[in-house]
Amino acid sequence: MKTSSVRVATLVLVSSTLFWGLEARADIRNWDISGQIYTKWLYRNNDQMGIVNYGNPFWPENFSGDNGVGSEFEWNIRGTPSRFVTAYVRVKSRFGSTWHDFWENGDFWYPQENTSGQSLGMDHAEYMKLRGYAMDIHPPYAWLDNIHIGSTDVGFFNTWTFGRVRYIDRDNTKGVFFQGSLLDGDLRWTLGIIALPRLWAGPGWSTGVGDVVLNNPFHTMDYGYALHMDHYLDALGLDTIVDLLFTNDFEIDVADPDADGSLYPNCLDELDNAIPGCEPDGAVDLEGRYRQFLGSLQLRFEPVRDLGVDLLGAIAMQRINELTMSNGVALNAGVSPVPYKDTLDWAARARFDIVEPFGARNLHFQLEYFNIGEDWVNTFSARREDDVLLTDGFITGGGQLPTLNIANEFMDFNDGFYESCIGWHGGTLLIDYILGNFQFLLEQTAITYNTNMQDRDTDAVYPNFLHHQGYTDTWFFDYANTLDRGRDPRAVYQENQDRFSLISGLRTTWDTGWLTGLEIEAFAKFIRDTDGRDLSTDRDDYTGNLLFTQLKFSLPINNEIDINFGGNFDRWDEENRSGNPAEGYSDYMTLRGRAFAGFTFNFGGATFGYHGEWVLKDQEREIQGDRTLDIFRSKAYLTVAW
Amino acid sequence: MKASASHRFKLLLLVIMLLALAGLVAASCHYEGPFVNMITDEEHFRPPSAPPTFVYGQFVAEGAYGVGGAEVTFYSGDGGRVDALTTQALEDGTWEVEVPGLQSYTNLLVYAAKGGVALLGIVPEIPRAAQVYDPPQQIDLSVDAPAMHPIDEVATAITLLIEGRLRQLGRGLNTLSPGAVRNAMEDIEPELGEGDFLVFFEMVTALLDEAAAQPTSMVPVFLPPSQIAAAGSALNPLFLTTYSVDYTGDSTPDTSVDAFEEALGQAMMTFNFDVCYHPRLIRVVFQVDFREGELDGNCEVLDRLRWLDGIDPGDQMFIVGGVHEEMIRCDIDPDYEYCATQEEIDLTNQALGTWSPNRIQMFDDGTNGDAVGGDGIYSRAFDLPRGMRIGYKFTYGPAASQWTGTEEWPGNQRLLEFIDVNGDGMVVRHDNFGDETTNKDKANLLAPLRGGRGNVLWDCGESTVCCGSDESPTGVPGCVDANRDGYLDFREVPIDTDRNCEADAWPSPGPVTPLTVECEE
Repeated sequence: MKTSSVRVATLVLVSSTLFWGLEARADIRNWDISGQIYTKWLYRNNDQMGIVNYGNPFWPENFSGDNGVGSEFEWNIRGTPSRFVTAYVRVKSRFGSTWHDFWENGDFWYPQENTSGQSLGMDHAEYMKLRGYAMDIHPPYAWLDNIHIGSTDVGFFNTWTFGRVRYIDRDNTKGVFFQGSLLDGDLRWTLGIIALPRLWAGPGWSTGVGDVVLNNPFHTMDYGYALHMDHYLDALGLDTIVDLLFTNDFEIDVADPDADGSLYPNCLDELDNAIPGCEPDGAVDLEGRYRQFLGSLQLRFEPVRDLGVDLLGAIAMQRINELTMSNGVALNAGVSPVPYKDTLDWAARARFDIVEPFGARNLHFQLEYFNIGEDWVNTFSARREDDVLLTDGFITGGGQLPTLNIANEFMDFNDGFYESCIGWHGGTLLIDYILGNFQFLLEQTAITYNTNMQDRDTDAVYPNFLHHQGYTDTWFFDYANTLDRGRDPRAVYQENQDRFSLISGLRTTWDTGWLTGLEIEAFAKFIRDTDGRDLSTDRDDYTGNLLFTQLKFSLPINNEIDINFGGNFDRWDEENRSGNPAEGYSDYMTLRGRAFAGFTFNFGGATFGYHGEWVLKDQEREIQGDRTLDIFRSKAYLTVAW
Repeated sequence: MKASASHRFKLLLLVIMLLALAGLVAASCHYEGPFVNMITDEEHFRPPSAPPTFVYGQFVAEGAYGVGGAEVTFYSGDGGRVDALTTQALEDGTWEVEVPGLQSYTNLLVYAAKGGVALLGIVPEIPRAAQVYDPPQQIDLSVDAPAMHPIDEVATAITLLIEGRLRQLGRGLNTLSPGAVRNAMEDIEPELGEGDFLVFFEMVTALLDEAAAQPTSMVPVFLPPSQIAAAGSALNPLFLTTYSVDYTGDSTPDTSVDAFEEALGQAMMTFNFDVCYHPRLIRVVFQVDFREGELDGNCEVLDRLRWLDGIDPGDQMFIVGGVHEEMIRCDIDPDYEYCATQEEIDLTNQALGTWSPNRIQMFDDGTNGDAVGGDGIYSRAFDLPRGMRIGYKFTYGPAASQWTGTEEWPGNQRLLEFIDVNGDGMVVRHDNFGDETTNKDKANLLAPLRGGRGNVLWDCGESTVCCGSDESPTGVPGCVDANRDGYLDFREVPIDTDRNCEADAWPSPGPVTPLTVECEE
């Protein structure tokens, strides 16, 4: 019996291998090639050259700016060597060079720009780079559908654990993933190991590189281990989703005498006495720098007809090693994606979708309760292009994400800004009602904050992102805050905070039916934001009455051309908007207006778009003095894909 | 029953296959890293830092000579001020100073001045901590050196006598063992009441009396030890010219320190210090200059990075070496004066890392024999067998890393014999990092015009400088004194301190003192 089983197993393994191997084909018919050229024009009436409005906030680069035109070419190749194996490759030119730079060849011989073609470096050389690659193997097992090896945007998990990476990084995360199903397909699972991107995945936006306490950062064994399970119980209509992520940022144990940079290369302490148990053995031990565990449980079901329930609970834990991780809060002016302490906290979200209750047609209620702990830490959440809460939030256009690792960078002025919702505790009611040609979307949100606290240590433990007061103006955003743009969207911790916020909004869309289909959208939002700050005095109390309005007209001219235009008017009345106890707090009255227009043109595989806006901002500032900002800017793009 | 056993076997087989598959998957996906580390992790222990040493003393607080509340400063045996130890005396004259456990001092001079009064004492010994687990050392000067408690006119007179006598002998306090200084204190103290000692002591008290009469003076009667050598006396000549002082008792103001120095010399004329060096070991100080722009033996600017992989954060300076293969062992030639026993060979090899690179750290932080922290000159002192011949070189890189990219040059070595050439009781070898023109044994780059022959030898037979293969005992041509400066290249040699390419001074041992032992009765 034993011999027989072994033989059968061996036969299966060998025949599977031979079968797959023999099936492989190399044939042009197995190739699927596509290409795309993308061109972007940026304009602003200032003196900044470049083709990305907001570039790298930390490392100096030479491609961000407001005036320029550049193109990129992308080449996607998909291969199918057999029905069991597929492969994907994306080759793309480096975006950063302007049309005016054509002569640049990537050399970087001169410290200042000149006409040699060798002064701007590779970011202006338009070189082709292997940006993504992946292989999928589909073994013929009932329980294992797919093995994915290579690039991924990690979209199979949720943003409370390992969020989808942003679009421009979609191939930059790499790993190995096993996907399959059990219980006759009712339980879908994904198990993955993900190479932690050393550029951003960790404290100090790195997995050790650049950390001042590390002489020899060791980042090629840093991985995240993720499990996703989705079980559907048909009898109850219950969808249960579990996501787990454990990340481990290893560093070299410098107490190991074998390690490069060892503290004890001779196994002697600093008084030259032998260290017990210390002996070189040719192997180098590792120790953790930063570990994180994230888990979420999501339940989706319909207890009664027309009521959808979505319950989510999650925990987040981080463990730091002070020997291998420097204090980014204390050493980096409070700009850090994690607090400098061990943390354990939880988050909960409950959503209720009520569709046409009691027979009320075209009426849709959405109710959401959210409670995110003050010590919730997730460096691996989606960094942008996702949204975990229903509310429009403080910043219209982006969304709310449960992380301090938000990336409002490598983007243009008309891309959405995202804000952190760590510590938010409250609820949102959305009412969506369609009446004839009108659609109304009403929002009411109330938020208190788990981060409300007195005497919080923002010097050495909790990051406050340096600029943490006043409403955030994303239209005049800059990293260094030279434009006095208000709080950093990641600034959720204050030394003294006692904050409460109310957000009310109404968006009305009217499909007029006039001309070729004119649609008019009116939007108004009012935020009442209060913060008692230091409770021992009322002289620093903040009150913000923030009004936002927009009127937008959209008109499809024909099948190829859509146009839109409109305007905004905002008024922010902020008492004690910013300051400090020593110098006092300054009242701000801000009026902001915008006129915009744009169009898109689709024709024969080419898509052209344009958006231009004139923005005016007038600030009455009690201490700093009044100021007016007046700019025009535009962005246009052309995409041709085949 | 049979079916059940079969079922269990199948289950076991399936589990084994799944584990095997999981193992393959793990090996191919870097899953194994954390597991292997978990199994092999030795959880290396990080011992604590060396405990500090606390030193307590007291200046006289009562009476006219009280210096309570004054700044207390310390000076090494060669007169250099040790800023890190500066402290403040309390009103009762007591002072306390915390010394890093890594640091050791011998024969520190302690000084405090208030108004015109200035008092001096000696702290014979602050040993480095022995074990990192020990409690902090407590050194109470009243116990360690009773003659220095409190530091008053008596302690000051004793200190001035010891310092002055050594100065007259052309030596510093750093050349004496702590025991020799303690013995000197004990010998001098009872003598202060009679003869020439009494004459000197009365001068000291007369000077202090006058100083005490000037409570607001900015001119102390005795100079800080760092100024004594230059002034030629501890007595402050400015004090004598500022105030009309008759310290000789002849009713005439004395405006010169001569009488003071003469009385000191008279009292100490026949006084001898006990100085006994270790009979077998000698203190060897290695110094390597890593500053940019230093000159090599050819008087050319040295390319210190020639063989290095650059300079990175966290890189450190190391020395590495071992007993030279031509060292004469006692079991082969027991009659050779400096023959090496196996124990001595082991001691030397262990101290120098037995040619394992990047393990024996040099220091540029003011500890472990380094004079000035952060000056680019790294130092380290060892106590090693006299006459031992070693090969060594310096490396610069991460601790425990390998040779390539960290060593001064690939292959070859520097030669050094532990013989005290200048009579200071120590061997002080000062090298420039990457200098291939001095004591590098092979492929030595000292230019032929400067005498270079490519090799540095231990022995050239009859020749005192260079020899050909026919003269060399080993048949290898080379030099023992290639640059013909009169000093063998493989021993401590004078160095060029003024960048004129001529050796002009012996390298300073910094805070390092000779290895002395208590003299036998």
